[in-house]
Amino acid sequence: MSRRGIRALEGMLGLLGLAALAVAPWVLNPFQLGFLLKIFIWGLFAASFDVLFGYAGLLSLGHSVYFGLGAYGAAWLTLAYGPGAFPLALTAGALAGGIAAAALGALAVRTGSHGFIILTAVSALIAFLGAQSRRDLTGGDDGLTLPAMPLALGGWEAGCADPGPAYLLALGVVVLGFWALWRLVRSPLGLALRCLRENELRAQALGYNVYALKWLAFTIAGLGAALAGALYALVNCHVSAALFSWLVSADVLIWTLFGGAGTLGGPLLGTGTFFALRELLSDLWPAGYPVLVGLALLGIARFLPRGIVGGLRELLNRQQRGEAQR
Amino acid sequence: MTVVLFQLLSGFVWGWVVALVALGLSLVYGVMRIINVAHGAFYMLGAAVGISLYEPLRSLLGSAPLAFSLVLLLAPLLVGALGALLEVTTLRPLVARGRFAMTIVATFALMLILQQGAQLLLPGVRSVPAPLSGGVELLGLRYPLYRLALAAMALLLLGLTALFLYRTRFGLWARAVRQDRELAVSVGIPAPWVYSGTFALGAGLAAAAGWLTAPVVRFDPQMGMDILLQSFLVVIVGGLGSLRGAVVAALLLRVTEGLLTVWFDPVGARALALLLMGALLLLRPHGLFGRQEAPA
Repeated sequence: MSRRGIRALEGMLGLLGLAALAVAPWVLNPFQLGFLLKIFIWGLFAASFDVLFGYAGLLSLGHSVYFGLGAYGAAWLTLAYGPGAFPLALTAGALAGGIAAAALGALAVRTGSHGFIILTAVSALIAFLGAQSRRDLTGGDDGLTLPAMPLALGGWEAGCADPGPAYLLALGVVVLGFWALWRLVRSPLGLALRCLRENELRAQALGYNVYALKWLAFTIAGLGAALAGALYALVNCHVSAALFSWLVSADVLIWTLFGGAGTLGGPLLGTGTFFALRELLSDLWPAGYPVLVGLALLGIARFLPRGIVGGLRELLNRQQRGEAQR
Repeated sequence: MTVVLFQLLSGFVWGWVVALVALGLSLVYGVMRIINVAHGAFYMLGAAVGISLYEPLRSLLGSAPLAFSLVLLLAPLLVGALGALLEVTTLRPLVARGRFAMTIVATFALMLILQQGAQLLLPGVRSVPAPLSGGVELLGLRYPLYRLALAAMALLLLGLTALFLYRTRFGLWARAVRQDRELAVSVGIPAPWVYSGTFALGAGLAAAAGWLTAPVVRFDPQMGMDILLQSFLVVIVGGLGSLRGAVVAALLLRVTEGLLTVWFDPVGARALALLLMGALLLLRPHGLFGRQEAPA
């Protein structure tokens, strides 16, 4: 199969999947629908992380900060202006996270690659402790509960237990988000980011402003994460300080690596896999879930460093080369 | 006034504990170039192993301080041995291939497994009584004697580690590998074993700190997380790879936090102290005692 053939196949599969997802509400029960929705939202979060980690090569352990800020931004606006203002809440949440990312990014990208990791991890701790400390604003661990979005489609109403039409809205936003990220990584800017990942010194020699590039990647990733967070708050009707926890940041790293960093679709796949795994194991052996995740991670680190999608692509490429030699 | 003094003292005591944990983290980072996320889990394991050994040993020996000291020797040895084993089996293949991001993932995986393992094996929260009771009068304040002993022990262990690094052959090797790995290998230093030894040393130091704090805090499989992130911050604010910087930054962090506790709630004070320390990086991006990172 030629490379163009593979691309076309991937595109077709994507369109087919999208069509299947659009008709899902008429096939699945509310619980399954909500489960699917969660995977999309967290998958968008993982894809935004992938722009930073997979493409720009910056390992952040504090990506949850922007998801949390997006969620709380949307939550506060909904509580202040009512659930009817959800377009405003979505925008404001995304912007809140984006601005925060721009501010922290300006500091973090200057500390060197290892300093960056630690600084982002500590930023997640600070945000988490801050959110727990200001219970008056955030509700602490109990969190805040929001009213559902006033959406209705032919007598089918959006609620907190049954997403209903909110599913279609969220699906639209997630697809738009993915499309924007996909355009970004295919653009000259995306190429420059990859150049940065492969060889920072050479990127600098080529005349790229590496700090500006890193800062831009950090800000865009923060914006994407905050959009996912805002969507999460509106659909889930509940936010809590735990969203800031650096375990959330670690989760996103795991999903991304498992699916394949630097592929954008891989993180979504990884998110889905781990959500399904958690659902499965919570019935069989709830206490064992972290242990099995740990073992799976050790396996990935050792044997599958490019993740599922990366590994498959490598396999296809090798096959191609084999055919070319014959 | 006594409140301020109490908080200052507590900050000072905890500063030495954080310094001890950060020293292990900094050593492993300096020598192996690994950010060891599992370090906090070794701290927790020190307490867990210690708690399991303490009761039987105390009834066997009939003396609490003696049993406590013996555990202080045994817990780091056991945890250090476990650390070496884990390093050889999981990290060595990754370090050999130069997969930096993957080493972080692997240590994160170890953390998950160790934490959950402790949760499964040690259900229910347990604590140990302090081996030294009583207090010391200081400017009209009665401060628990054990906490002062805790700071002294942490200081002693820091000093012993420094001696070990500067007066033994292994220490010389470790410092050589840290400065220039390739040069060290080319003069015949067995770098992989230096890695394992350093990793074990780091784990042992964390375990010692964990056992020392066991009488002061409540045991919890997640107890290592907080101190891990503080140690991270301390290592980077002190200057990556600078042992002296880590100690100074640890004391600065915890004393600041202690002082802030006088006016804020504990969680808010911790967040604010971390924030202030982070702000120090604005002034000195490479840390208090750090040098500019060489381009890799």
